[in-house]
Amino acid sequence: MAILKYIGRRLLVLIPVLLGISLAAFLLGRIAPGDPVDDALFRIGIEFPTEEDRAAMRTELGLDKSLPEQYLDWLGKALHGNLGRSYIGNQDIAHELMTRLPITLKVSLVAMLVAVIFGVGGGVLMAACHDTWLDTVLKGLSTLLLSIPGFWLALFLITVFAEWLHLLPTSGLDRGLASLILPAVALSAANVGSTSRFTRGNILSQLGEQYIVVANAKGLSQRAVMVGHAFRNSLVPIITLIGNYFGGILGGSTIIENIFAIPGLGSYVLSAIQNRDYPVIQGYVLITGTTFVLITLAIDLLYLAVNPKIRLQGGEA
Amino acid sequence: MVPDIEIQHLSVYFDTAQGPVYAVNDLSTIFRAGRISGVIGESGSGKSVMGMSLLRLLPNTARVTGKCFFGPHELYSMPLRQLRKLRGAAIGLIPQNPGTSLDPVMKLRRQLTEAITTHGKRSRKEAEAQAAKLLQQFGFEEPERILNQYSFQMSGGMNQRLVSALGLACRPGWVIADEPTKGLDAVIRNQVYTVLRQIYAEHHCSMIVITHDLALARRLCDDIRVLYMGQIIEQGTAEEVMEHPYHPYTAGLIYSLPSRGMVPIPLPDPNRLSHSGCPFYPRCPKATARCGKEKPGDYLLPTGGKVRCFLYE
Amino acid sequence: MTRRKKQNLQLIMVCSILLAIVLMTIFAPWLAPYDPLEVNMDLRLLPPCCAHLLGTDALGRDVLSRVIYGGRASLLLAVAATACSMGVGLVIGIIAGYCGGIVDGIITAISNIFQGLPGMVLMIALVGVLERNSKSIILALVITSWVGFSRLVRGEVMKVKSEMYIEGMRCLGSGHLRIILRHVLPNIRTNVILQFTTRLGRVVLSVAGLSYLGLGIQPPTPDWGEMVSGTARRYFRSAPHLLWAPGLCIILLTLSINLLGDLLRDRLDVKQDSVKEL
Repeated sequence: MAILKYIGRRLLVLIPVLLGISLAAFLLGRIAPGDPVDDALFRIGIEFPTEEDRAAMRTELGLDKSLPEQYLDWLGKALHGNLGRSYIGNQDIAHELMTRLPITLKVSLVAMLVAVIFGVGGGVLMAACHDTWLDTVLKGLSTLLLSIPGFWLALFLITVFAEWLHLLPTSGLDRGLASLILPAVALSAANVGSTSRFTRGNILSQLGEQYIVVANAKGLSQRAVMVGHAFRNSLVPIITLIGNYFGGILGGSTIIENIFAIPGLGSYVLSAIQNRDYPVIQGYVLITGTTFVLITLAIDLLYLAVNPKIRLQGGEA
Repeated sequence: MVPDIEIQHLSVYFDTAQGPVYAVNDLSTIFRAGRISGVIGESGSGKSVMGMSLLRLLPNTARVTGKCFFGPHELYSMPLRQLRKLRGAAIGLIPQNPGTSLDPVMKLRRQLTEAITTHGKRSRKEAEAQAAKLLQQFGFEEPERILNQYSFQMSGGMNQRLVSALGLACRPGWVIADEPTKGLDAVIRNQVYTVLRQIYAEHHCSMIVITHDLALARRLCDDIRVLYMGQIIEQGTAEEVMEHPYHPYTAGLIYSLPSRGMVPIPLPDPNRLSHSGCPFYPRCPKATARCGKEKPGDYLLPTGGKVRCFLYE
Repeated sequence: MTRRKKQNLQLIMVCSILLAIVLMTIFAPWLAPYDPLEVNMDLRLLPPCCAHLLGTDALGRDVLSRVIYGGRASLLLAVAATACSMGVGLVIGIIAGYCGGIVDGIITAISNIFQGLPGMVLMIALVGVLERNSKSIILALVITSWVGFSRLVRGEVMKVKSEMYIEGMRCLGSGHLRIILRHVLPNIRTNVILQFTTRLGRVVLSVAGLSYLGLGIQPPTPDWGEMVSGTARRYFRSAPHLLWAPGLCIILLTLSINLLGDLLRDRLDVKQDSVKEL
């Protein structure tokens, strides 16, 4: 029962967030500089429109209605999978975005996996070796990772692994997992840094808790205390953090896809931005935003596995 | 044969910006096996720190000097790996604050069984059976149901009994009970007393009971040590200490009980704050000029106890 | 004691690196050997040499001069954006925490929505749609990052507000503004300082990222992020030296800001009691 209540509450919280995303996406199209009517007329070849032309186009675009009505129209269409057609090439935006979404998701999820494995693993290692030289070195390294811009790291990795060592491909996705390694590493580096720092700090603060003293008093080995108790307890805040990072990874993928010539959402929206193709940008925000929300939801459900209090008593959403 | 626990010149201090703060100050004593030894004192007197130092479970900011012997073994020169074999198996801990002493995300079953299996003598199955039996002894009627639950589903009294069971899971020869009645109401305090009595009766444990609950100490303990500012200022049998206190501090502690007159110990006299003598000098109603200059030694009493006060030189 | 001394030493080192970078950007016109904008097509893509210590870029501009100038725009922008988003967060957080009730309810609901949005995605989209200038970047950074800080402030304000002495001040007739200025703000000062450094590091990277995408500092203004993208990306196979200097500058700047944040946290946070074992 408590589980259902928790899930129900999570789903309820989703609705305003999704509406917020759609509103943000809609407003993006409205705050764009330039007169949309003139722009639309220009695109169909009318450079010097008459007043009639403009009025007709205004009605056609639905701009004669009030802003809330325009939003509802737009949302209604979006919900039916109609995100309009792109200015450049007149493509069906929804279709274009959906074919690229899996590619971006693949890269982002691999990056996420790298962040979790190395971030959490490194954090546990640092906490276990706390106050030794290994801890100091790893801590410095994680702060460094946190301070490197992803684009520079990507170029650096390409120089080293592709140009000098000829180990990994520089671009595209046609070599399977091998072509995912560099983008995923570049994309996740900063998150590896912050996750490992956070994990370390959290485990160390757990070690000050009374139940750890008791676990030690039982005569458990250091590993059993670290992994069985301290780490398991710090999983709850770590999972929250990682959920938040996914947003950063999705955004960062724009830059990384661009560098590695990966045909995902990021490189699509970048070319749209360069061409001022507003409907594409709107669609991008809507699709990525929704993906992010759904992924955070999935991660929230992981809570149920690691936090019995929520599983049994509902806890706070 | 269960060995005695002997403390020799133990000092525990914490480095602060104002210099070192001593929680335990050059303390030496022997806890005899087979007895229930009480350690009483106000909060801050260093009694919990002393108790935890016997398991080397102090915060890592604490600095320790001196020696603690468990039979022939010196605990502080022992490798940690070897010490872990003693923890739980030879010396069990019944911690204070039972509510926060149990892992909130681990089922009680695992918490109890791992205390048994970690010492390697039993399989998981046997350990589970023993855990269930232990819970029954501590008054849980449906141990199987309890084992499948978490500590946050328990009441305060249940958690107290659970941590007691945990401390005894490996049937250690010694048990250190740290403030077992702290923050509990009268009914549960009584339960705790019964539980500890039962442990002593059924498991023949030697015990160190650290408490500020004088009534519990009087009822439960064979002998009592009174701690003030990290030093033992009086020790003797429970009856002697409680009925005929010698040290002015012990007397003050006992007569401040509601049932014994409720006379509080006076606040420190500001004129006496800087001194180099007896630690109780600023608050002592019977202080002489000598008390502020010299540190008293331990004086043997005719009853067999010891007191650290010039009045009994 | 020695630990404290070591900390002080580290703090001095990190601060002097930061100061050096800031001074370099401030006094760029006097330090730079060449005009960073001067194009010289005869000297394209020179490797490092005596005349041009870090070589020249694809337009024959002196890389060293551009590196010296390159922190100006983005550092200023990052500081401004961080200050703005924290200012907005501070005001909203204080209002929510201090007023409580329905005001707090509404602000919390809105915060929840903003917290659910993928910040970086929204930021890129916003900057992409708006005109390319610093105002848009600051706006995008404020919109996507005010929320975290306002939540923190709200929590702190609520904590302070529930203290007895604040109630006492009310009884003595102190006005709301006076209580906020005199009692609430000083209590969250430490947090503001810590958050500022933590965020500044992140914002510097965000601005560099935007510049790299061509959405941040606009050419020809020299900027580290733009330098990596504009020339290095296309020529890094033939002229990898273009990649190093600006990249290392960004890393050094962010690293020293992050380290400063860590050291300040150690210094200002009192609670630090870990591992219970000797």
